[in-house]
Amino acid sequence: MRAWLFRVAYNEAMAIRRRQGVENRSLARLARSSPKFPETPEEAAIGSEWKEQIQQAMTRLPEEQRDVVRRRIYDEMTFAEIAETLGVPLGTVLTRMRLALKKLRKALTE
Amino acid sequence: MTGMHDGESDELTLTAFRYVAGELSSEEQRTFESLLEADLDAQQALADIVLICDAIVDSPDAFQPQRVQRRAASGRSPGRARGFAVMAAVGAVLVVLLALWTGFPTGLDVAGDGSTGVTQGEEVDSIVSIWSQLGAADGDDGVAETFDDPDEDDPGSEDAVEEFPDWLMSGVSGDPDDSNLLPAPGDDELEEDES
Repeated sequence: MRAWLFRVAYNEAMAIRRRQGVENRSLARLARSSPKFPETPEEAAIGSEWKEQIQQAMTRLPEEQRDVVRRRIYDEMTFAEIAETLGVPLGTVLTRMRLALKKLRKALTE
Repeated sequence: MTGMHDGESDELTLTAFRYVAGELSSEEQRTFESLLEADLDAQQALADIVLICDAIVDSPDAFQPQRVQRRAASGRSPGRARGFAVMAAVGAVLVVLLALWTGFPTGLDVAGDGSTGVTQGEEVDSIVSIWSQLGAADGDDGVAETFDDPDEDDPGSEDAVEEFPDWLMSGVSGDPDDSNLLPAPGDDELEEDES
């Protein structure tokens, strides 16, 4: 099942890149414009499961990491803009995002 | 994740994220796309990023705790504003009740009969007391006398009547016996001649 999920996600990523182009930095729009992965009830159940896992992992993130994720995805801010807003170096913002993505990816394998 | 070090894997994940977000330069993009063709870890990272972004966008509740904190920090919470309004209303009511309890003249018609909750006698006593204190400070005899003899400057009093000349009083009363008190025509001229 995970192989299926990976294949669908990867193909979707490629499709998104082709549709939106590299200039579009709105991840929210990218995600919203993508068609829903599951096509069968079984796939829908799997999709709901991993979504729930990621959402729960989001709530467990440290506040500073969750803030960076939120600003980047919801507020559509660049990492440079986030660093300037928070008054921290760009490397700090990238580190927080890197750690957050690591934990979220780990939630997918649990 | 096929045996990569954590640091490399984390960096690959961030690169995949920036690739999806369109933040890579043209050279970085070509490098990553060439990596995608052969590297399973890169493909996995890219697929995970798509799943993560999709899940986050579809789950705004994941950010709810922070949104609550942001509202509280900015003071824009509807519940908090409502609390302030209730407290202000209660405070205003308490002030009014305290004023009524202590007898402070509020101008409110509490009884509904036109009265203000303070009797007229109390108001007069209060004013007289204050006035007397002010008068004593200025060296007067006190206001009590002023209020005790209200006809002092009344032209209709006896003292005032005595100040009028007799001829004027006779003219007003119409008594013919007093007509001799009227000044005769030419008296003024005689007085002037004598002077």
